[in-house]
Amino acid sequence: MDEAERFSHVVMLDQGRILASGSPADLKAQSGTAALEQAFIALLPRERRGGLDGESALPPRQEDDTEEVIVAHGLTRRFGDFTAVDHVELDIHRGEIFGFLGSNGCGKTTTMKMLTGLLPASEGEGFLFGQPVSAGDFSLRRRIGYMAQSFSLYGELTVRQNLMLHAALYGLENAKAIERSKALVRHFDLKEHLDAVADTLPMGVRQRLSLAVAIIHDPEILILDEPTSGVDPVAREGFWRELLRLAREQGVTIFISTHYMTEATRCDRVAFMHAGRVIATGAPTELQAAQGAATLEEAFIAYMELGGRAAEQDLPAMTPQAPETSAPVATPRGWFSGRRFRAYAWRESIELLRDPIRLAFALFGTVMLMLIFGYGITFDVDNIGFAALDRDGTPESRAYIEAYSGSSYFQRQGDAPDGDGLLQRLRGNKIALGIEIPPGFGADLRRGRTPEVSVWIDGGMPFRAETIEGYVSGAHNSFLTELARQLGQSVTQPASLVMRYRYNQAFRSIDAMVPALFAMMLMLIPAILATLGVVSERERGSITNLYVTPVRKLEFLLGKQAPYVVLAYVNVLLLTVMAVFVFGVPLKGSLFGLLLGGLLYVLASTGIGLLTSCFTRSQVAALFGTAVLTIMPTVHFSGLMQPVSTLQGGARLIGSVFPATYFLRTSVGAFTKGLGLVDLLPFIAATAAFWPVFLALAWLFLRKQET
Amino acid sequence: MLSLRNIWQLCGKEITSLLRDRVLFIFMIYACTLMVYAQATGTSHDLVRASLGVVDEDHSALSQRIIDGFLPPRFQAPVMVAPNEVDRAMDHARFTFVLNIPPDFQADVLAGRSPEMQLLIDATAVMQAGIGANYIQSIVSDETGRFLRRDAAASGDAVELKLRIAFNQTLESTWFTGAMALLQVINMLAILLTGAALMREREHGTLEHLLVMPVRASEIMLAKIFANGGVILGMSLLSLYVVLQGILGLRIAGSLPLFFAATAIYLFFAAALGIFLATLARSMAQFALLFILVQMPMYMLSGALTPLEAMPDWLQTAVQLLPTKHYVALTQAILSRGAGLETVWPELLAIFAMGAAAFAFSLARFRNFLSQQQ
Repeated sequence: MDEAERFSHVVMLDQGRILASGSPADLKAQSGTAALEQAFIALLPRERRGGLDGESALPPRQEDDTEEVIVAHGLTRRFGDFTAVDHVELDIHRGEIFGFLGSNGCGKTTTMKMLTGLLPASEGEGFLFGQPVSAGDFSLRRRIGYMAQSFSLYGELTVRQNLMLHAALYGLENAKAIERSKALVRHFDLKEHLDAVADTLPMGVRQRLSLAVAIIHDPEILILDEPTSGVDPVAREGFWRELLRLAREQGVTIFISTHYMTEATRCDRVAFMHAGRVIATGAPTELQAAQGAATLEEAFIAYMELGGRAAEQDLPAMTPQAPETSAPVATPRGWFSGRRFRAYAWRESIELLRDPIRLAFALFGTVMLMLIFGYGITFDVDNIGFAALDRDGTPESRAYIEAYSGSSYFQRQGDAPDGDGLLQRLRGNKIALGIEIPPGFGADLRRGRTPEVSVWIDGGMPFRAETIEGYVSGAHNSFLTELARQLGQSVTQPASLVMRYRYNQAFRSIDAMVPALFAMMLMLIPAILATLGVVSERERGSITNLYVTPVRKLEFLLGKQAPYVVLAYVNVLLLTVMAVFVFGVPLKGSLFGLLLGGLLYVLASTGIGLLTSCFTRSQVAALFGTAVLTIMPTVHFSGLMQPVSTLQGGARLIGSVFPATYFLRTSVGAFTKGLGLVDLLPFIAATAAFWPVFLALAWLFLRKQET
Repeated sequence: MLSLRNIWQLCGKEITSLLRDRVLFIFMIYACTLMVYAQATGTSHDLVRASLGVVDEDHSALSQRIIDGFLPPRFQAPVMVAPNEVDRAMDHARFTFVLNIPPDFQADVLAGRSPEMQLLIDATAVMQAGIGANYIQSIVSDETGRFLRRDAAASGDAVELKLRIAFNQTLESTWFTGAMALLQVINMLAILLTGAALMREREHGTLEHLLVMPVRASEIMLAKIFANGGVILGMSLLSLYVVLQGILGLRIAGSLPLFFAATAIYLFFAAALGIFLATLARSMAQFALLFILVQMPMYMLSGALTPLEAMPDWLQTAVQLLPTKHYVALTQAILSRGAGLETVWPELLAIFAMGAAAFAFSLARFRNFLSQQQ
């Protein structure tokens, strides 16, 4: 409304109907009011005025109460080098409506937070009821009501639940809580909304609920941080009448910040704040008179200039954004506009670049995880701890145990006194293998009476148990072979099996795992990066940009995805360099195939994030959804741990329709199997199929209009 | 003094808003049931359904006998391949193993010429390559031996080896993979839900609102831990009793209530960690990445997937600090070794202590966290 005063022609609308139109002066004259806002209300049909007839003159305040209930002395707050609040002095009397006026970011909110104890002061002190503000003082908190800039209601709770929760947290007894809620519901006209979820309420109702919640415990001080922004004039008028009633009838001290001049004029006293400093304090009329200004706004500007600053610098600081960031006004024709796509991509990139910590997490996080996993995920089982229970104690039994301790796979961890001790140590996970040699082992062996050795293997982890089983039979056979050789027997086998470990002759875990990990790293991090893109806008409400601008859904989606694809591709390059130079895994096959597959893969993985982002309603759901949809299939069903050809049932099915399966074959093929581009093509083609599918699904889920 | 009434009220609020997010709820049910089921039944940590191709250039009774020796569940039915198809099939990961039986194999065996057979192993399938090769080796030599003796009498070795798998006689891996899948689900859920709930309250400004009321930061945090942890505990109950025990009919060596109690303690840790990560992050996007960077190593290095003994020494020392490592250790102890509280209490204590530490750190960071604006 303040802005509207400056227009040459104003059209007032209510419920889609034109109420009046003309110059501000005409409209005011027409309705016989002093400000446009009042003119608007006066011009409304009676039933739409919400009972707000006539001018709500400020009843005179009894000036005899000069008890100072809110006081600030040299209150200062610094954030690093930046001084947000600079030696602020305030004294607010009981029952007073004290306005706090200034542009966005001038330090109003910070000052208020320090006075409520939410933020510690860097210097100076605040006092409430003569006591220093301290974060831990609960008796003080019970006497204060606070309404923050954003409507800080629980959006998922109903009106009733919000009221009852706040009553309970303020320590109201149950009966009292119900009584107060009822009174407030009546007073603020919330009855019909009682069981509606707060998020679905119109702004005006939410504001009434916020105020109701803030005064549910009958506070003596009410601190309100820009409570009326974004609320229509009728609701604002009603809100102010309620404030006046609280102050005048109940003696509540009200400290309210605003950037509306019309509101400021209704306060008993105001403080002008600018760039962290209070530049003037006094009754609105006094301040106007002191500067010889016609309006409070002019007085504010005059005080600002007195502060010795050029007017340009004092304009409220806008967030620096490139001009392209707003969607272009011109509407290019056609189903896809490169310009609009670039505009969205640009805005998303700016958001990403402004958050260097996130960027660093994405890049160094990948490097760090690769290092940990590259060395940590290995299947080379050795140094298996074992204990022997030698009930025989002959050279033969010692030779048998020697066959184990001589192998690099095993490590002897002392002996067990008896069978129970052996099991006890297995159960306590001290050893993974126990060997029991029966009495008479040596004698039986010499007489050719096949003795029996018992071996226990810890079956807790099946993979390890089976590997140990293989090693045990190896050690056992080497004992037998040695024995046969000593007895001069033939040891030739009827047939022998020559094992050739293909692709990785040394059978080094690292050579196989590092390329396989590409598939994991390039799935999880890009998907998580991209997953908040759409849903965070929905949660913040800025998605309405999509509804009001001519941006087509596809341009929006691609624009949202593009920056993350670029970032993820940097990771592809980083990982490739690391694999070759840090882990020493030779790239035997086609580099081009790897890089091409990598591009298609990150398109798919960011695509999953984008898709989840489109069908979830909250950031938490998007995050968890993406985590569930990517982590488990990537780790378990894509061949990272276990070949896909050996999976079964649902696992096999998920594995064969998941992009990681195909990219894993590409990267392992390119690195370890030494495949050329032609051999890699089938995998690359399979990977390529996912992106269009994910994009199409995201397109379907992203509704252009709110339902 | 903590106010139990405040905690109770805040818990109610947490649960209401958690359950109001239907998509999230569906994801939670999906993860705790279908995902755990798919992982328990579909994947395995031992050698099962190994894929084997055979190039039989002998076509003799012996070669047939060897081929017939590869039986489920360890092996899928061997597939005959032509010699010129071998490379392509292995490049495409169709088979992990290809056994090549040369011409005149049987004749050479009977003549005592000790012929050679070749086994090609896809060494990039690290998990199955080693153990599978062992099994194939023993099947081949058993079958050849029996063929020669024409009967399946004693092996004739000088010493009989009696192998016993302690605690998990049949090497039943379904319980293990099922329990590990559950671990991953609750780990993700607890860290994410609790942490994100705190992030969201800050982003929406409701956290400040709570703190101007007579409510303590510790009460807010505890309520988040109890409420989210409680819901997830309910989900794991579903997973354990309905999916794993009910549908899959699995029986464990130890006490299921003890395992369940251990899970509850673990949940306390994970939820506290979620809160801690949230106090480190400045935005939901940062929290999301932090979550991945912390969650993945916790799971991958816990010993649930790979043997700890195989890690380099420095990493083995480092993983002692992972509560997941202790949780996996106690899971193995309870599920397959039948260990009781007297055996697993050190692990339980370690997990609880780490949870308490995470909680204390978050509390210390809380004011700082609040003053950080996005």
